[in-house]
Amino acid sequence: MSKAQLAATDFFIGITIFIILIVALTLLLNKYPLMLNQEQDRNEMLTTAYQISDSITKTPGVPGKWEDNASSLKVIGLADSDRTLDKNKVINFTGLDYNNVKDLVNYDFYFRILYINNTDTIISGRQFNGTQSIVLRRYVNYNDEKAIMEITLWK
Amino acid sequence: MMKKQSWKLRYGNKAIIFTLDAMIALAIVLVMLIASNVYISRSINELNNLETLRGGYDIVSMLNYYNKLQNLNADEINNELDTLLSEKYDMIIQVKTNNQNISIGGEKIPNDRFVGSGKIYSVRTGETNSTYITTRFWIWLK
Repeated sequence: MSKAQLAATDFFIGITIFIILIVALTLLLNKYPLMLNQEQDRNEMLTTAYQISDSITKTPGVPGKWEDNASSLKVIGLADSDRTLDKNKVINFTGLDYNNVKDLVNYDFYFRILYINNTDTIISGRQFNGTQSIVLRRYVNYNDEKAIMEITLWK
Repeated sequence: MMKKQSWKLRYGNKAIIFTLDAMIALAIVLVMLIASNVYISRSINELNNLETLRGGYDIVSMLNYYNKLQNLNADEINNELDTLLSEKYDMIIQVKTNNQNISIGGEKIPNDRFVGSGKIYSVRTGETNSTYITTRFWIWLK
């Protein structure tokens, strides 16, 4: 191989590696904003889920006696006292129109109360049928028994 | 005949200098890419850790609700913990009063992963006096 051929081969190999690196870098840099947006969406959903689960398990909701007039519900809360759910509020909550609750939580949702042995007792909302979801489980007392309140937010 | 240098570099045109330059540049690019990846994945984990911590508070609150902390009976608390604590978690609970101190669950707090910890204060009211109870917990993913 002559000197000129060697130099040309070296040049082409160098160019190829350079192009591969540039393409890989461009693809990666384009992916980052997308990843960050997805993460931001997920974090927002997760923060909302934490706030809703706290509100459900620790507060009676707004207004405090919303179960007397279920359509007056402004902030969801099902607690009688800290981490003890009020059966009357829970039953009224499951009877609420799905879209009204969806407006309050900003996402599609699926709500369950399970006894500690994993048997469902109360179910409300629609099961996950989208692209992103967050599931949070909190320990509560329901009907004088240990239970788990599970809320799934999805979109 | 004297060999002519193409660039007037301090170290001449030695190939090793160009190679080192390219390697350093590549290393800087790689470090920046890895750092940004680590930053993104860490921000995800930090929010997930909140679930672990809240689980710990929920369990201690439940123990308190069922008066298990007030009795200071290690076996009773342990049994309750077995029922409540999910299989994926491990937990240590330390209950302190003026004259008693018990520790339940777990073996050793790990130092290679996130450990959520918290403190809850409660009062046991007796006929003649009240006892202040401090419950501290540590919870982590197995």
